[in-house]
Amino acid sequence: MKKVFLDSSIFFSACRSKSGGASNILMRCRKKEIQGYISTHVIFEIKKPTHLLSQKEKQRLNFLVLQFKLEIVQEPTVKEVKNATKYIKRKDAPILAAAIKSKVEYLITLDRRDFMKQTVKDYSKPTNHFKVLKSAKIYRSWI
Amino acid sequence: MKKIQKIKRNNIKLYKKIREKAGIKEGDVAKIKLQGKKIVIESQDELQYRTFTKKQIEQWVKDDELPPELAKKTEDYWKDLP
Repeated sequence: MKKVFLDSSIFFSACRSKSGGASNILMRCRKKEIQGYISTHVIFEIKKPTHLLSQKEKQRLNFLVLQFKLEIVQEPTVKEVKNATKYIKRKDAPILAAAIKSKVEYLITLDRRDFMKQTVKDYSKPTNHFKVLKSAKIYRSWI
Repeated sequence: MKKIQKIKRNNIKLYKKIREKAGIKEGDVAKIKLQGKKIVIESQDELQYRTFTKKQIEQWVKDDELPPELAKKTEDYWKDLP
């Protein structure tokens, strides 16, 4: 079973659209075709900006987080997060560090600007053996 | 942990025990905030959380579109989603 780490952007997109790539990834997690991982940092990030979501979207978010068999990974240490800041912005480092720690094959995100940078790609692939992908691109790699 | 000290020439001593517990090492840069009558000194190692905007989320949804057939299959699956 493929292991994927899900960034906060995936949950926001899945809340808004039932037919997008993020919803497709979560559907596969629910069907147990893939194993989804998240960190408490991700949970905090998606629960915090309540003003961005409508009541219905909040309900969806709770459903997606609670009803799924997503595994919560062990939080990276301060040292591991600091190490990740060499390759990515400080605010994104806890996500990259958690993905590395969870030993996944893919880090799925929609944040192209920060995670799709060459420095992150160079760091994640040869040393940690995982790819950073957009959710809508996953189907092309897997199907 | 409470320590009382006299402030001389705008200087305040950070006791080693307190400093270490807060994760502030000698030579580190720390954030100082004023909260009412409290002065808060924060370690720079504090985790920073990202904040998102509505525009960003809308862009993600747009970027996340699937080919029509796969999009329909995904949408059909989510009938129980509120």
